[in-house]
Amino acid sequence: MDRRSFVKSLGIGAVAASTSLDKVDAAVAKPFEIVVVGGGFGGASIAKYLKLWGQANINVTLIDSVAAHVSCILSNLVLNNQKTLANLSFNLSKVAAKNHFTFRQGLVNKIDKAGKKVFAVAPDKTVFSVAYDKLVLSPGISFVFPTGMDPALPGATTPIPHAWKAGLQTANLRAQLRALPSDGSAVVVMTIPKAPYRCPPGPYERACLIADFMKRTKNGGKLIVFDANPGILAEPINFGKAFTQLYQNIIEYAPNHSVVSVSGTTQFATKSITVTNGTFSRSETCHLLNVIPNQIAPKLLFDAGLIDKVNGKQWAGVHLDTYQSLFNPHIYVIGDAHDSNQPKAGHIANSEAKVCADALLRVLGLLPPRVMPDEAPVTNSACYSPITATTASFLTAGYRFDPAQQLMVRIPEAFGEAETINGDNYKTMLAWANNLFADVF
Amino acid sequence: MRKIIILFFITSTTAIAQPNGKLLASQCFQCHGPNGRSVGEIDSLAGESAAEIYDELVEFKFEPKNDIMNLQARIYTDAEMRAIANYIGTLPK
Repeated sequence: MDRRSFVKSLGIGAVAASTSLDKVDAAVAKPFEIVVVGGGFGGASIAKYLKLWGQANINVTLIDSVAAHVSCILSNLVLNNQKTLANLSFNLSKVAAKNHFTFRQGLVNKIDKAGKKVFAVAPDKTVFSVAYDKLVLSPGISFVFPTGMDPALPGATTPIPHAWKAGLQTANLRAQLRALPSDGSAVVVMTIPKAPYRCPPGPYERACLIADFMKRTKNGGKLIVFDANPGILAEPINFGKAFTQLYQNIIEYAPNHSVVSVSGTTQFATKSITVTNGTFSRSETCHLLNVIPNQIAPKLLFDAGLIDKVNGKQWAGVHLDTYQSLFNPHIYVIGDAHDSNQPKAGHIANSEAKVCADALLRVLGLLPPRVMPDEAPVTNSACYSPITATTASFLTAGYRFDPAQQLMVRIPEAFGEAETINGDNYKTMLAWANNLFADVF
Repeated sequence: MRKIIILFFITSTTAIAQPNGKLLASQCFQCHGPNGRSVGEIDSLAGESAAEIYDELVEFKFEPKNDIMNLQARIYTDAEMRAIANYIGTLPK
């Protein structure tokens, strides 16, 4: 966008434009330095949109520990050979070049709030720091592993994969699925974490795809789904139908069961799990154990004092109209790691990123102040879930900022799941994901 | 000179009291593609006029169905739908 259309897009007439230009030109002298931590759906989106809307007034540096982001969205389709991990990998250097920001690979392990810089460890183990005027954190989730699940084991071969961050563990889970006995005797156990966790429909979708794979290629078998929650949390009608009709001979769904401990020593050998419903414990042995652990914000955010630990919070508190931290005015947190009733998922992380980018440009004086309630932040969530290898459902929601409660509130009339599970939804799912990928990366 | 200052005041006040069409419209791009240009089965929005987009949004919002666009359209106020339509109406095909 050129300067003329930038100003025009503010919706201000010609006379106002010259006044605004003077202001913007003053800022151009020294661009604002924005650092973004995390190259997933939230981080890559805000890096792109800050540059798109801020132009030369903004320099953006995105830091991530990996060279390529692997999309969790559609990654369950790797399990049944509909997608490959390569299809879902986005090289962050290329993304940065395309969207006019700088990418640096490194694991950010410290935020110097007083000095306004972040420290990171590069792949060659050297430490580097990057100074910021404003810092946006979009670091995703961390896991709370149950007894017996060792996060230090290599993802490609660990006996009990979570595969809840797409990558080597996804390939591992796929390999273990393929190795199941084909005579209908396979026993698979998967566990669903206590909410809130990344991608509310995701575990139910995965259960469906594992059951579909077993039905089609393994002569069936048994898939026990232990859910720490009291019932199906997302798309209860469609997943309920899938569990009780489509996969009734395969899936046993057990709500209100939390993991106590797990054991398993090698990738393709028998595993065991003990769960409890609070009164009784139950143990199972199985060929394949997929534990999706409980989730909290990454340690970086706890260490930086961005989470109200005293009051038991496990996610970063933010002003939900801007995503500015409640604890530091120069830090913003978007995506899965922030604390709100918006779901933790890639599509809405992109939506939050746009609201945050707009808010940041206003804070920096590059856009006029927001006028309420006309410009109340609005976000949307949409997610298509495969139910079989050819059909899918969807879930969608919208959220609007309520100044009285200082919350993003779900809009009841905009919330719902697909009326039927069908093939059209499956095709739309692939189109949705491709457009979302194009908008983020 | 005084006239110009008054004009600026009125123009800018009028302008910023509208919903932010550029931001709101960007929330369509997750499904409809960046700048409204879709790469697959979902319709592109770029190239449609503001009136077409607004009419479609109103139809989606009020028709008695619950497909994904019916639900999505119910997120927005009438002023927001106009702002979205006005912005998308400027996007090149």
